[in-house]
Amino acid sequence: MSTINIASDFSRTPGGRYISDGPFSGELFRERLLVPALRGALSSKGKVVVVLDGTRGYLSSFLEESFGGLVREHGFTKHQLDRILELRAIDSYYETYRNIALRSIADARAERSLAH
Amino acid sequence: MRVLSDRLLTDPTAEIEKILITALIGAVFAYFHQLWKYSRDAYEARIDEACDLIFNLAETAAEYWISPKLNPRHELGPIRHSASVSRQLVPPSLELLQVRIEGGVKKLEFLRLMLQPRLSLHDRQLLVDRMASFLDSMTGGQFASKARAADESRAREVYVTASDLVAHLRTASQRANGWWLTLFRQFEIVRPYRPPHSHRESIADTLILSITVPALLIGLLLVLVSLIF
Repeated sequence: MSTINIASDFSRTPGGRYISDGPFSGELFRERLLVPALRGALSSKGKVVVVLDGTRGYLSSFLEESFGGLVREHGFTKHQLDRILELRAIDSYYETYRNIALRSIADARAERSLAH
Repeated sequence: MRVLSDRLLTDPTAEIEKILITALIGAVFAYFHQLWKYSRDAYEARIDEACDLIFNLAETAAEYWISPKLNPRHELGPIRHSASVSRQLVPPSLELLQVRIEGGVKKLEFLRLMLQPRLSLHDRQLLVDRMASFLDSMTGGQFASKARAADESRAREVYVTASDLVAHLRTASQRANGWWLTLFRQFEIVRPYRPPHSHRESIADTLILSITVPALLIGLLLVLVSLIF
């Protein structure tokens, strides 16, 4: 099991959606940390825990691009992500962001199934 | 009064005891009633603050989404000679609106943390869900992008999600302000209570309370009856 703590491994001040929008974007987080960890977890049949705590908050666009983008851009399925990805919000403050991230995965799946 | 004075003459100690106990019971009820009123009013004030903030944020977000954001490097290059046009294309207020939305979201999150301990598990989960929808409508899409088109549907959606959130806060606060909950919080100060985090814990709490509370009330009633008569 590998753990990604966004605050310590990426940034305490996550930014917007795309790399072109500025530093610490959702796209950068997904490409640099999330996808390699998830690919590793898939091959080793492990699990990736993403800890949302410790940052100064998130923009919904960051979360959508990071987690929804896994389905949209990298072809992960909801079933796979349920098995290998765990989103953790230890402090109650981050519950809303966890909810948004989970919703992004579900909505991205819907977009993908509509497209096919 | 005459009956009372006659009784006082025949058995003064017993009658004074009865009067004192009745007065004490009245005082305890009055104390808890005041406590409940203050607690309810303070909570309602916080709810009003949150609702005002939500609608102010919705106004700000609608203003943000209704205006297009053009990248000055690409869009304004050829027309920089006209100061009035450049001001029109890149309103400096858009950046300010973005910062206001981000700051307002943080304020709202802190208010949620202050409000939610009083809510039931179901209401708390619904609050998080409604908050997520509101935040998603405000800071989702192309929020914080360097350039984007105006998004009228998102501007409308912001008001819908804001209204849903306010409606839930109002109804949940009514449920959270019962006098028995205020009484329960007083006991909680003496004996800290773990709020339920799952449905299993919630059911266990309901079972324990449904047995212990009636038992305590019946016991209290029996003690009072035995003291008075």
